[in-house]
Amino acid sequence: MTDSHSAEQAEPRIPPIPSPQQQAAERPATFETNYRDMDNNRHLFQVVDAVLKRPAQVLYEILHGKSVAITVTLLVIAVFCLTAIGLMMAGYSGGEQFAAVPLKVVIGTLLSAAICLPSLYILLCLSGGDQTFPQVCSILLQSLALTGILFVGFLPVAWIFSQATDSIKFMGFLYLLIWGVGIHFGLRLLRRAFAFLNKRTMGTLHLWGFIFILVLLQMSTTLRPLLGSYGSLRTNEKKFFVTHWFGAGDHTDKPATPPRLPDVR
Amino acid sequence: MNKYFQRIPVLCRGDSESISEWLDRQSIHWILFCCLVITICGGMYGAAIGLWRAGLMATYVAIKFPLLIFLTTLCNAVLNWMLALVMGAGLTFRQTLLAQLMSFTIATLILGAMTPIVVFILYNTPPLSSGSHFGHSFFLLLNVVIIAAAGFAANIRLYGFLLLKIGSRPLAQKIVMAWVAGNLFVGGQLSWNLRPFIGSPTLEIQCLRPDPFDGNFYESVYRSGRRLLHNITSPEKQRK
Repeated sequence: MTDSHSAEQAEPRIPPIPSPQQQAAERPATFETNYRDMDNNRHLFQVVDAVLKRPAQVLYEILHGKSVAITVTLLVIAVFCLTAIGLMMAGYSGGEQFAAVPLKVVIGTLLSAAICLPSLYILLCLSGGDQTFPQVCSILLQSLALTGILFVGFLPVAWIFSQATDSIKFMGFLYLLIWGVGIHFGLRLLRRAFAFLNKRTMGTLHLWGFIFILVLLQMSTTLRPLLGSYGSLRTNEKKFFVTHWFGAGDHTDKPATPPRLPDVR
Repeated sequence: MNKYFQRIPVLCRGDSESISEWLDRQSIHWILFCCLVITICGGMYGAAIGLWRAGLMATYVAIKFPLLIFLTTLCNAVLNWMLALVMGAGLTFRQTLLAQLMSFTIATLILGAMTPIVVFILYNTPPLSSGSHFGHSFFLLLNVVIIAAAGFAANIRLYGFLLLKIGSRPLAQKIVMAWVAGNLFVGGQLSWNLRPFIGSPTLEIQCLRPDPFDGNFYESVYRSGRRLLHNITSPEKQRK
């Protein structure tokens, strides 16, 4: 009795090997397992929940269900979330920026998506994608909605830092980081969705993602100032984003001082 | 017409069964539709290139860009057919012409899809009046990259079409290489004749230069090479 008891204490208890069915049940849900309709749960918050947890359900609705209704819902979510991050960005400078920045963020992001949409469709076709143009448009909106939702998740973080620092450079870096994380997950969803639908990895989507990020970055420069005070920068001057970010003295919050003219009297 | 529009994604995907059927079918409508796509998409991209300089230049290039594609295809049509025959492909003249037209259609579709991005970049490029030539150099380089990428993708598909009809991988590779070499050789010269496309910022806007048939592309490249070599080997003379 004592011998067997001590043997039990000495040997670590090995958990039983789960059966394939148990393994499948414990595995995190994938596109395959969630690719089904939303059981009439198509209200705004239920779609938000599905975009985050079960994106394949939204994908199913786009392809088989009420595609117009779900597309409009995704557009509303994207616009709402982009407006929210725009308001937070505007809060740094205040004043007229509360009206200008949300508008610029929403229009800029949707315009960037519209500019890149034809190339997405053609590159997808070249990779063997079988989706129609409206379907590609809706799936892109789904990824934009996910990006927007993630932005909203970052709002408290952005607010804390905006209250704590006066450095516009730091805030610019922070928002860039937030956009980077959001866009990463948005593009990841896009790639996963098309890979699942076409049963193959769509290599050209990496190239398209790169182009889309460049267009977004340039758009942020075209629509400047997003963080500085309203009218503090000469927005009619055409600049590439690299020149704008790394150029000296153009990304401060101070109003531009006119150049001192030589005394010719 | 709608039937042909539905073929565009199939063409881009390189769907073997459908493309094989199109290559075999004696239909002039599909050839005309490919020409229409090349005209519209090539024209759109050409206009975006010319817009860098002015509206008038955009109109000229919108006409010249598809024209360059058609002239290159026509000039090489018989030669490419003969090359395919000599190499043992057994393709008809109509099939070789259609295969090339479909490949150019894919290239112009890619260019057409990139047009909004090019226009957006153009909108953000510092204008000539700013005194900087950076915009010109950047725009030139950007278009070279985009056109090269579109050409590469189109030739990959062309290889796919040929492989489908011929069935032999090495033979399809040889034929594509021969066709691409011929198209580059003639296309380079025709683009020289139809210049300017982007145009030098210091020269005036023209539909064609006053001497379109004076000299050729390869002589110009040779002269530029010699000038560059001369500048490298004798920099002191240049300074004087």
